[in-house]
Amino acid sequence: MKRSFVAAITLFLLINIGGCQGGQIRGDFSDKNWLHDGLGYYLKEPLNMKLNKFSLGAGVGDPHIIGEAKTGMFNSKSVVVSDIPMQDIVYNALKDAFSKMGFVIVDERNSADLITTGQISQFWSREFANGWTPEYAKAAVRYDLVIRDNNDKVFWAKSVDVEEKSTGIGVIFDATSSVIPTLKKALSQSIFQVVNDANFQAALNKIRKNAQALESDAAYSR
Amino acid sequence: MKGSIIKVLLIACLSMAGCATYGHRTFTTDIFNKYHVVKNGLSMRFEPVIDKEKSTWYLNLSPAKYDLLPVFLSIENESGHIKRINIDGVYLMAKLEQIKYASLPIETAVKTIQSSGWIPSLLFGAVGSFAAGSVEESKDEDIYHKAFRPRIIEPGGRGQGLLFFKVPKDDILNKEFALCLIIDNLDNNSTEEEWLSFETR
Repeated sequence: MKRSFVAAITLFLLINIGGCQGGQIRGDFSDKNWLHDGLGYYLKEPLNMKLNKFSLGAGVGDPHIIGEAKTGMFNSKSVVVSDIPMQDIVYNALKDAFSKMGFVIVDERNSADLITTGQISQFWSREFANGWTPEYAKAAVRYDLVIRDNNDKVFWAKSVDVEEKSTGIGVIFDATSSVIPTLKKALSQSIFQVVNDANFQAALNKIRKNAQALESDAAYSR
Repeated sequence: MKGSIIKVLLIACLSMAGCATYGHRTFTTDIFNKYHVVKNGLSMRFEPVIDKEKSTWYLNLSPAKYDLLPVFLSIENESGHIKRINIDGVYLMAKLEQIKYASLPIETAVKTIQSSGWIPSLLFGAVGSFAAGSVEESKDEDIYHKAFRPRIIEPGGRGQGLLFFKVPKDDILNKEFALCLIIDNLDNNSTEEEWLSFETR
């Protein structure tokens, strides 16, 4: 009786200690194939753009920690870690998208038509699993993006705010595997939100019209 | 034996019923609009979330219990300029005592609320822990949604949400506070401070 009680207590403690221990999941963002298939807007003539690295908002801790998953039999909390810091992930994704749009990414501010700065306030994915209800992952990507012209005037600015939830029946029993894909989906969606913003496109169209007007003025004066 | 099975089933059913009763209240400026100020083209409505009935209805918790003072803030940009509401440097000042309370990042505010989440697991074991976990997750998610995020507000746009301040429970009531907002004017690269005063009576 006594022995079985001790065994039960030991088992209980082991389960609880096991439940408290968190592991680590690695997220791979080096492959960019998942990014923005079909941007929906492309420049007719190239513009030079200088992309500055993103800063991190005060609420963001370690830029390598990008989420939380529930792993193991007892849904222990595990951190999701990326080798690439979140500001580089967002920077690389935008750089790639702007290049595909037709921008020429330049290093020198002096040769840039447009200069971007930004701040990340959230880049996070989380698995919701409690053992009772269907599991899912939810990701949020939030950053401010300010684009200025070469006279330092604001060309366009936006707070990008995207939330994505994992989909599919397969994940309802274990959503750990969808933590990273959901975050990638949210990032991809955020890029799409930037490129397809009506004010951003209107501002770009205005530059082109101005350029055309200048060309015709020059032709007229000749 | 049969009785115990029924008891276990009953406990399980009650726990699951607990999971289902968590209700999310959506954003509304109608319930937290006690104060209204227009400054520099920004129309700002705000109210501290201290009324127990209102806060329980809106947040499903009583923030004072966690030494938290949330302030609901809604800003409409009627200035014609692009503004950025920067919450990193936001603070609350108890006017009389001249004590400053820095705003908490939403993640910290949620962790403060979560810190009491281990109690159900001690009281009710695994079943209680899982059931409580379900409610806690819903609660976290709800609070994340209701937080005021630093954001760019274009002319005609609006930003709204809750700012959280760590204020000891006993220091919350019957005080005059001033909330200091940091607003970046992106058009001319300048930063301005706006002070919003309110009382917690």
